[in-house]
Amino acid sequence: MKPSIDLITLEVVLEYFVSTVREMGKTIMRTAHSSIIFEGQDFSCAILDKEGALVAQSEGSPAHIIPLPAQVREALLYFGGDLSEGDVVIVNDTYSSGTHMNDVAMMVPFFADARRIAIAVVRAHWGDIGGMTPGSISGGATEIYQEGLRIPFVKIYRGGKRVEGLLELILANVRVPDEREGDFYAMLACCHTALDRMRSLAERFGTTLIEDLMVEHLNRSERRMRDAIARVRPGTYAYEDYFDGDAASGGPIPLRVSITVDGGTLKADFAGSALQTGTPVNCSLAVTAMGTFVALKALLDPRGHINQGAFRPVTVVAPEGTIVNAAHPAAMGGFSEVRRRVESVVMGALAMAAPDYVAGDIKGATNHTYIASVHPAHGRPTIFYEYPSGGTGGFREHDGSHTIRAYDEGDFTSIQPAEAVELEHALLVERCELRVDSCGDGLHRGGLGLHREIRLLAKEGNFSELSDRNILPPFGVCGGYASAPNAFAVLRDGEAIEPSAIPGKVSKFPLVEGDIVVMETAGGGGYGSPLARDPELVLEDVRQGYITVERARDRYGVAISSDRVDEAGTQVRRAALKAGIARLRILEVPTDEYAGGRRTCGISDLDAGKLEIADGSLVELVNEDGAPLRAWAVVDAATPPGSLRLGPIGRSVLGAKEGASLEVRILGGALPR
Amino acid sequence: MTASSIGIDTGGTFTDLAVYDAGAGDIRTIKVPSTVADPSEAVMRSLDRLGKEGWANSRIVHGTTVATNILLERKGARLAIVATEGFRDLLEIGRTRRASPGLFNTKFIKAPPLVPRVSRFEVRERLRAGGRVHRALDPRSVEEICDQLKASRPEAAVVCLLHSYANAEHEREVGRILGEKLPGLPVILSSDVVPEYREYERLTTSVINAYVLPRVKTYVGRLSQRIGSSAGRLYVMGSNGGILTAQAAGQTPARTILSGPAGGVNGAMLACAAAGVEDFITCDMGGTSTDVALVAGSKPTVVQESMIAGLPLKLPQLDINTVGAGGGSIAWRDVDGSLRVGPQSAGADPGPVAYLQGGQDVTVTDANLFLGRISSGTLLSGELSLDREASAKAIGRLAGELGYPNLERLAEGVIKLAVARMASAIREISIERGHDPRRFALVPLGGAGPMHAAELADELGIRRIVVPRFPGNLSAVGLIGSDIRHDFARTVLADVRGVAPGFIREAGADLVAASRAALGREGFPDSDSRIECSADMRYRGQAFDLNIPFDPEDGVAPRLSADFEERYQQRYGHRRPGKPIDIVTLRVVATGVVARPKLADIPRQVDAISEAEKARRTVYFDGAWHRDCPVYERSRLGAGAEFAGPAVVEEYGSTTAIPPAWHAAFDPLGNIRMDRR
Repeated sequence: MKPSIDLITLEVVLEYFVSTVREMGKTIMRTAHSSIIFEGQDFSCAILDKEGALVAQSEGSPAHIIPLPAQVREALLYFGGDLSEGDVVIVNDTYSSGTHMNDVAMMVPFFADARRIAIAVVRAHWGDIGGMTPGSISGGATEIYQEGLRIPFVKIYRGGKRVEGLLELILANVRVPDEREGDFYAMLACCHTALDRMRSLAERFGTTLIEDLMVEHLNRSERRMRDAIARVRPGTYAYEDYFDGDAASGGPIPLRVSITVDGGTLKADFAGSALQTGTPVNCSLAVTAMGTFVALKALLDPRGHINQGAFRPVTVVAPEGTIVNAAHPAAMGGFSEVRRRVESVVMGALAMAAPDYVAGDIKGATNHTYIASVHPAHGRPTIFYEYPSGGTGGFREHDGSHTIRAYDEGDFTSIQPAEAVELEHALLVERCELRVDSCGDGLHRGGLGLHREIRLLAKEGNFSELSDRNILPPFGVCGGYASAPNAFAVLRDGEAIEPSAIPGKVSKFPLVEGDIVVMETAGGGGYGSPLARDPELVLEDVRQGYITVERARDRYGVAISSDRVDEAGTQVRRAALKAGIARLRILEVPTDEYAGGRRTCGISDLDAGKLEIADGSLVELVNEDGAPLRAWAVVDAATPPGSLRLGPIGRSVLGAKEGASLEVRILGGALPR
Repeated sequence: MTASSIGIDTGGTFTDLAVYDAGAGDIRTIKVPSTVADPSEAVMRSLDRLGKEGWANSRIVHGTTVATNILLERKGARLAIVATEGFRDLLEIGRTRRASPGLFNTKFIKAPPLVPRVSRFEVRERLRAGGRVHRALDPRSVEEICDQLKASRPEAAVVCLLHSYANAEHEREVGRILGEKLPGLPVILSSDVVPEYREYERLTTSVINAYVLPRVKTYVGRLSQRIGSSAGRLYVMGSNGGILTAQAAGQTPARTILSGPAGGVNGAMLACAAAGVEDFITCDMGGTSTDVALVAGSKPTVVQESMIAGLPLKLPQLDINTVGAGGGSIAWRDVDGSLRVGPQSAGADPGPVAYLQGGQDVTVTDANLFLGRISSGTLLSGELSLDREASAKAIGRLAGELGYPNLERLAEGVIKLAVARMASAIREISIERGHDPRRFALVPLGGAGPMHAAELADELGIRRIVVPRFPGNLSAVGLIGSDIRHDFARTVLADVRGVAPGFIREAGADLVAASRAALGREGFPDSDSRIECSADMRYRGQAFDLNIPFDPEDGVAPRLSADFEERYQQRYGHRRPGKPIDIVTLRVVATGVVARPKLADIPRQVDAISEAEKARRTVYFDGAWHRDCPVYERSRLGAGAEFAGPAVVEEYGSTTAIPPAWHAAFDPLGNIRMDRR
């Protein structure tokens, strides 16, 4: 610590920063014009140092904040010395460390003593930024141009004066422009709040001291993160998971990570991940780094400050042109689906190395849901937008929670009041309830997802969805079961219709009056074996209707008769379920085997018959101390009966050696190979 | 109105009584230890101390935490919920928020719902927005759930159907059938508790009310009985800053959730009204937390919704912001070497290290003691003795852990950090609501408020402080001068330009008539009643409303728009001309005005102020020890007494610190007026 820096002054100034970003947030929330900002709180505010290092941020969405410094640094590079007092920069370009184009960032430099001291930034989700569908985000987008107006780094104010025509140009390209204009001015008010507060801070403490304090704050957080990383056993940890894929892939596509921990530093390498897709599920490297950091923070040090210092010990790399480091002209509307899966694989990789905070996996998608229609009462078009939450994962001490914001999300609402929806739109919320049996079962089960039905009352409308994790479900950990994946469908006259070829990627599916959009979100993955769960807790779940009596019997082995646990029946049932567990021994093969990017595992035709595993079916290899490995079964005569072919990465994920016996579970229905 | 008034405030540690003697024109206070198991025990003890003749025929106003504690401790009634088909899980799903910090926490656990799923039932019916019937109520669906509902053995049932704010017919019908089939079961209709839109908030408010109802009713009933009918009437302080009859408190106990803190704000209002101070911020600092509130133009800010125990409570209440920093807040070293203060508190037990009750962690009180700002033995006139050596040792240990060489600066730093948290809390209710705190006076209260007022004022740029008399008992004092207040509301949800002025006038008149009737039933003639109408308004599409007062006799609509835009400009710095403006809710506040206690002047200071000096000691302020600081006994200082800091003023229940840059003067009413020089 510099001798001039006093740890008490540092804390007092930090409290000031925290209240400043809070005040920025309040300003935008109370002045914004679109509900996603004031209801959904889909925005973030931050103060960065003069070089663009994150110093303090609002308790908003980490998805907004954490990639922000990368974008600010690109802006600084772009403008070079040409950034003066009174300049206001806006940008939404995804390829310069952006998120998706609906997220518009506004940056203002703070000057004092004739030099730049800090930069205040707000990034807010605009309800629409143009493009091919209302709301701009659509599962059907295949390239960036369909997702709206691209704004590169531009100054919309220069020296305090608005640049003529620029805002007009933007507003001419977006839907509901007066709402966007309101949001624009709300962002501006938010930045002015920051400048005012910074000015009074500088008057009180002097600019040099503030700069020194920022440096010390980051250094301290860096040391703290290094210490946390140093507690993880050095080594390399791998994990892999899958996205739902696109038309070209015809099925799931891989995400792979290899994490190297060495003393106080950590490097995450995403080599081997799928190429960028023809869907909006792609993201910038800054977003991948963000997902990595969110999971690391949760696993290693959930309570420390978040700032650039804490990022320093972490390096994230990914080959360009992949889903995790996408290049022009990839669509990026689903960046958040990527970052969530990035979190899943980082957690999966470190599950065994940092077991304290590991929990069952979560919904893995934002679940952007849009219903556009024209309100018959006033003839104006309206866009309904929600992003429903799911259940959270079970963990060592407790069950997960039902339908609630998860550890990787800001604490904002994800569904609107039915009474507000029905007031604004020609829609009727038919049901909004917990999705029974959607939890991942376990010693500590995951929370339930949501089941929500929305009926169109207007003559016609359309439905767009951008989701993921509709095929491979969120995984359980330490022997816990996977939960139900996200699912979106349309009910017409009681018949379910698949609104898209790839599940969860729906672009303007035409709705007619009376159609019901059914939104079902994933539950949380389980923790530990359900056969070890206290039967009384299982009974209670049945009583409350969280799980069915069939689920209690078939998964938990709990027999219930006349509202009581039948103890003898339960013993018998559990013994039978245990005896029935399919187990195969690992047969070491020198390299991991993949087909079309998807992991395969060879089993004998004898076992395939015995275990009822069809060729090409998706199986889960259970890891009792960490996250499971998913693979597609390949039935071949060459594999000796009783064994399962597995390469070195697969074995390392499971922490298992040759000859180790693995529980094999069949996941889901038939999936393309 | 009865002759004398008594305020009794139940706190975590002490129960305070304040009595106004109209003859002497003065207030007397009594402090007794609180009785946690049955708070009425301590209430009666405090009354006993007053003597039977002291409280006969008095108006007794009670500030109570009974409702709050039932909710926080989850010891309320077993309830059933009746919902619209498809919405039985509303209470459990809510708005899908954690409603508490949880970012990066994979182990977050959502509190179980106050009403379990098995006790939540559905009926077949549906209304559309605006209240039009979409599906008529199927009475059989109500009858069908009766057996199961009964089997869940509820103490009360809450009926909350969609859009009942606009049309309560279905709720009433369900209530009628339940009443018929399950006689004796109290049924609460959401449209009666909060006839406002947004179903989750309406439900949680109704559930909170029903949840605390049986126990609050019993408590208030028992207390009324113990006080006896001859003693005059018992009232309970409400969250909105007005008082309720004991009976009304038993009916809608959710209105008493902020009963205690509201008393403190009213106490400050009483003191400031007499002293002619109209704009001020109160800071009620206790052992574990600090409550702050803003009063502009002698009117406290009222909000229509807040969160309690993770649930929205949609009832009018004073805008009181609570922060977890108090005298008992613990200072600790975080793993990265930084100093943190709170939110953990040593509370009253074990309390600060200096109490010698086993506390090991440095608290804000220990820091004050170490710096000489409070003396060993002053708390509550010696009822609590403090050991400075023990505090010093603990501060030395913390300094060792932090590698921080200077104990004085560390102790001062602990105080500064607590003060910084309080300052943030004040910024939230001032700057974030469009008020510049520098224009306000600071009114500290609570045992620890006056000790930190000057530093807090410095942090916020406030230059005036009013330390009222009895700062440690001010919540009880505030109860004496509180008016009866009723709130009525009706959701309108219409474009202000589309609404005929006649409609607003009529709707307003209905509410006004209801208010007058309510006040009349409580014995307030029109001459003692005040009726205020207002409308919650917003630009179409916004979620936050601004409350705009209006006179229903006016040609309302055009004025409302202009007033709204003006308020909006003032609050947010811009307006949106041409954008449609909606009226969301009409509100009427009906006040039954209670005679304010007339406080007599304190005697003038005639002797030299050195006569009031009880000691001199070395006190640490602003980074330096100050030798021979005078320590005054407040009761011995008269009006007109003036002195510059550094100084300390001690009294029963509180200590005021006056740092070097501050000047103190006693006004005729006995308030200490502090100014920054």
